Amino acid sequence: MHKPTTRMWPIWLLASVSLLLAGLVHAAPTPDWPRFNHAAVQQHVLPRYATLARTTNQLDRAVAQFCEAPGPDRLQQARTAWQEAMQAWQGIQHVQFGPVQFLMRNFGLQFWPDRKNIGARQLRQALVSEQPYDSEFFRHASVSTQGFPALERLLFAESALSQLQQGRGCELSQAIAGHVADMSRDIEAEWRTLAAEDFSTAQDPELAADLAAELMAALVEPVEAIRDTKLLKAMGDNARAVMPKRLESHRSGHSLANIRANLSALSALYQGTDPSVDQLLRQAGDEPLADEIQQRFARLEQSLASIPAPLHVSLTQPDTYAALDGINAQLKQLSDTLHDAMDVLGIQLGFNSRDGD
Amino acid sequence: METNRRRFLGLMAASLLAPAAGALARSAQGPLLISAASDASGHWLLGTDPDGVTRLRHRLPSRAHHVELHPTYPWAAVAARRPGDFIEVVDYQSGAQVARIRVDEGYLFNGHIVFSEEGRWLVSTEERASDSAGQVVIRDAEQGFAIAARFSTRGIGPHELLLRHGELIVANGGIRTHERDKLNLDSMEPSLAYLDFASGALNEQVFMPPEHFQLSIRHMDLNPDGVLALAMQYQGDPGDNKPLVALHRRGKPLQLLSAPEPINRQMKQYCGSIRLDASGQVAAVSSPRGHVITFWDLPQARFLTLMHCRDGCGLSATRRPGEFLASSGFGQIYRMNPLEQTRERLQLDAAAARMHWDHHMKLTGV
Repeated sequence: MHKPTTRMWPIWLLASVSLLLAGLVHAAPTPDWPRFNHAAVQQHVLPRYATLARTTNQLDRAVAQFCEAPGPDRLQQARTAWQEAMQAWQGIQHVQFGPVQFLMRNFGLQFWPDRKNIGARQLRQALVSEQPYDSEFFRHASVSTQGFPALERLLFAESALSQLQQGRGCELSQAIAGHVADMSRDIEAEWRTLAAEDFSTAQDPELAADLAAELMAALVEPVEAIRDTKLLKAMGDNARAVMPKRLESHRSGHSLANIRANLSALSALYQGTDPSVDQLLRQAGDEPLADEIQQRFARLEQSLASIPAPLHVSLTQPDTYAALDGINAQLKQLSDTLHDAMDVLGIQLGFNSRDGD
Repeated sequence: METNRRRFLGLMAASLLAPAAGALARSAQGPLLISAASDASGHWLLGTDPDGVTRLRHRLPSRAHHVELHPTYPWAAVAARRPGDFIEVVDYQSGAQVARIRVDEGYLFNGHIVFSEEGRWLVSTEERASDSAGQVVIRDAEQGFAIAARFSTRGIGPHELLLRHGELIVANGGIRTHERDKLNLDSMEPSLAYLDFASGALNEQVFMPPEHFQLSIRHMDLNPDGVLALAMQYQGDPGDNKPLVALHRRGKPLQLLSAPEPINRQMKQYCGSIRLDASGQVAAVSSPRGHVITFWDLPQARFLTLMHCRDGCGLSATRRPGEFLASSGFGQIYRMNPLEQTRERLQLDAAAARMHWDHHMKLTGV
């Protein structure tokens, strides 16, 4: 036991060598992750961040135009622009790695759920402060005042038309819209750099497997999160105990649209690229599982289409509540089959990182 | 209980003086990495040798957390993940089960245990199921692990504990839980309690300063100079950038440490494990959510460097200064040395490489 560690551990090997050997031990064919990663980034991630950058830029302009000449039409235009930008964000929200993590942009764009109602408090404080709403302000501001939910509180308040014209309401709305547009533009630009550097088709195999796991986590993990945070939390124990204010984007009536955008994005990540996860599964010989996942996505889309919007109103209806129960079960089944797919593809998602101990 | 308690008190002094006799020939087999682990077929206490060959694979009733080694017998004790109901003691040479200890009615194991220095007592952190009130429970290895004493940790939700020179150090995480739901995030009072091992008397207690009341103290390690290194988990606003590592010396205030902001944020407000190296001067801190292991210089009380490790959590020091082993939830084990800036991956056999290595790990023979 007094030998140096190098002799105690005679076959510690360099990462690349051990990976080769591990590959030999497993012997199963590994999917071509570099090619998949490249396709997923070029065909899924980059276009969706581009849409986010474009729609948030339009939102920025629409809020500015409202503030130049406030009126009900321009307020409506700003609200519509918010909904389109939110739709774009919900379409790429599942990607939680890379530049969106930098500087807490993911929380900055959307701090939600806000269980302690921090957003309301922080927004009130921001409105009465005398500080300029500049980059320095956002560097120190709570994430709850930086993004979509704060802007939703301002634009979709019942008396928004008058409130925004009082005090610093318009000034703050413009600043937040500008900040959301800036963050979105920066994420897109940084992703373009990242795509060129880390997602070429000639990736190092170990890095490619790590990056594939990140992309797969973006596909699999949101499914249960949607059920748990976007539906179950608001549904309470039964139809008489619902809590509509726990719905995401309930102020703008966008709760259901968010969920539909999420599922549509996950379906696109599953089967909308070339090569796709669906193709990889079929190449790995599991056609039945691939078929089942396709069907589950399609059925969920149908089920969601039958739910009347806005969800914070329809949630209280027994029929809708029962239909949502069914959707929750479908989400669970989809999550289970996607986890099965990860086993087939040899992808391990989080373990300790999902723990809390 | 009272008889046991007296026996415990009476034997304390004698056993501390007894030589560490009875060392078994466990080194003959070489060191083993022992950890709780899970795979598709269940939950295991796993032991892997230096060649990456699985030598121990003992099925556990459910997911487990921390492993502790007996100082003389080839025993590994593993505690259930909180809220836990078992501690399993396994002979890691023969694979035989030495004991399965069930938690007392109304209490829950909190995932961490230690053996006393001479090996007679197995000490666990537990909490009362009704209100998470912290308990240190001492069991007698010579009496079939019967409870010999039980005393308060002076806090709620205790997690890791250490025992050095007749003094217990307990990290009171401060979080009241029901199952795994957190109930009191607005009124947490995390603290560090130094307790007399024989009497349970409070020697010193240090609370997290009020402005950091949501920094739950979870894990820690102690160096020979008496410097305690702590790793925390933050329960407040996800946008906050809080110190996640701290140092403490008896009688002094807590010294909170942060890495440079982008790195500190990359730790995702969450540390899973902390261990000190063979020299006692370097701490490794795992942040599985941020996929990084950070390294800290104790004498200078500052951040040193970081290394990437996807889902890395379990840490153990080797005999070499600055050197650690780190395990991941993705079946990987790395050897890392921040002083030499080296990071190497250990080749594991197929069984070990498919394992989700759980939170903490121990290296025998160190």
